[in-house]
Amino acid sequence: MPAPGYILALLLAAGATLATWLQPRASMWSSARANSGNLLNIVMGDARRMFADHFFTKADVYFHSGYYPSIFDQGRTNEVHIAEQAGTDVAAGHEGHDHSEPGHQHDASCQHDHAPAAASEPEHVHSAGCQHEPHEHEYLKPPRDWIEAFGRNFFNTKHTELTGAGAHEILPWLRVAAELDPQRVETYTVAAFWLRGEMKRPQDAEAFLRDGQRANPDSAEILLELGQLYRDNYKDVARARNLLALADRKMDAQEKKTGELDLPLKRRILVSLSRLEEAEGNFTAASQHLQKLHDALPPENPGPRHELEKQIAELMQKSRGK
Amino acid sequence: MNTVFAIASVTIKELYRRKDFYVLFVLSALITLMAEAGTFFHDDKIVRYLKELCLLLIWISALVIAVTTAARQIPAEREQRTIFPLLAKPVTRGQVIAGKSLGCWLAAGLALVVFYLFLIAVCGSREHAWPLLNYLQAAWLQWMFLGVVIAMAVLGSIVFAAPSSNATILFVVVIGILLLGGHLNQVALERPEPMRSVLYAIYFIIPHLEWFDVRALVIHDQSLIAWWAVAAASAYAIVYAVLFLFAAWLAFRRKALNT
Repeated sequence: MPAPGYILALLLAAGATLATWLQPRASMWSSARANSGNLLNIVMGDARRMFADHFFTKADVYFHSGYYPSIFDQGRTNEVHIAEQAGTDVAAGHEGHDHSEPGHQHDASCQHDHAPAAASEPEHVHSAGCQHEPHEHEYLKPPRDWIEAFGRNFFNTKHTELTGAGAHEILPWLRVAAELDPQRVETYTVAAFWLRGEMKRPQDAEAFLRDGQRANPDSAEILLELGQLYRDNYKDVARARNLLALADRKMDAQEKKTGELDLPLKRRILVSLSRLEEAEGNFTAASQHLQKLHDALPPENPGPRHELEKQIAELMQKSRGK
Repeated sequence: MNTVFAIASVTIKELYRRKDFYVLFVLSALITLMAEAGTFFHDDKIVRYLKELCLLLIWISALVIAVTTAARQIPAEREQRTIFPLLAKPVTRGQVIAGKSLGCWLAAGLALVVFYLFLIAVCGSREHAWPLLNYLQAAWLQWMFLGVVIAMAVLGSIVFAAPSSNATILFVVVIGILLLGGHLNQVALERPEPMRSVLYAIYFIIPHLEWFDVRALVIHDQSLIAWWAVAAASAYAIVYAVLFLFAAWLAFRRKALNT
């Protein structure tokens, strides 16, 4: 048997040879992972998106102070209430409101800005003064047995919503969701909506939206939200117009690239632009934006198109009268 | 009764002599304090996430302490052969079961007091409010929950071969009941017979431990639970704990001690 020293030397030489052969290949494997981002991405992989969704829903649970359907409850839908409410403008009242939504009623204190709804508009927003009948957000049915009835003493059974500064309790979960999945655009727009609206912190909203913009440079939703922030909170019409116009261009580019049209988002952008121009007295420009929206609406749904035609005609009349 | 308390006091002393409690407390405190140090959107008044994190750590730690302590009581006595002089005192097997369970329960209660005092200090310093009655209700209900779990662990320590398997099975069962117990009736109704009847029978038989998890009420500053409901839930927990301990006594009576 050869001396153990020679065996050891042979093994060392073989190890060094393998390492030299493997090292350039290993650096190719790890560079793909390194390009995908930070330690969190590398450790968690695609599971981080699942966690991001969970924490986004957690923010909604906090918004309702724990009153939330479980996965077993029939009333559970995929809609997240804080996202519903962030679907449109706060200041302008309603845009994109579907009056055909069953069980939805509200009194005259609600502000409505009746831009025509898209064919199917799941978004639902109401101004602070709205009172409405409870509808799909009430998920608890009468208890089936005494165990279920007694168990209701130990969790929240009332539908409530955080308001004003109290809504800040949802922010940590939105921040964590954004950290885990920076490409989830909805996180930024929803957080910004609540920050600049209920919590009256537009600077924090802008900073968060800018973070989202860096992670998603082509996102029209983030640009729309930024435009609304500049319009409603900073009253900077010029910058708002630029941001909304950029959002429109991003949408057009996206539509050309994928061949798919996000009609609710396009409607929100063009209606926002139109309202902004109308408020500035630029009726011609306002009508042009509505005309663009009119051309994008599906012809098989004539109701909204007729409504738009009426509004365009009104704007043209105002423009001539000017 | 003196005998039972004497055995219980030994178990309590074991809690602060072993490192389990200190490790779990320090770990929970560190994680909570690290979370507390951070701010979100420059807002240092946000507190609910902190309560949620701290309460989750308290629940995990208390469950681990209760299950691991209770699961090893009888097997450790048998392994070290100290069960023989204990029973020769004379102490009956029933007194051993009762004393060990009571000791584990009181020890878990002491641990809970320390954990909740920490929670009150941390959250109170942030939100400048001390809803003591809410914390008291939450701690009391959690203590009752641990009483049932300890009784199950003591039964398991006689039925199963090793403390590790007992603890594992118990964790799975307890977590299963916490997550699914309240929804089993809904799941049952969606199934055809005979599975519907089987699930519904399980639903009525299992101890509904999810009643005792009132963290969401504390986190979201909800109103107090009706005191009659707390009393009824406590009575429910005591009944189940006594049932499990009775079953443990029946099994222990027939068990040979020298195997």
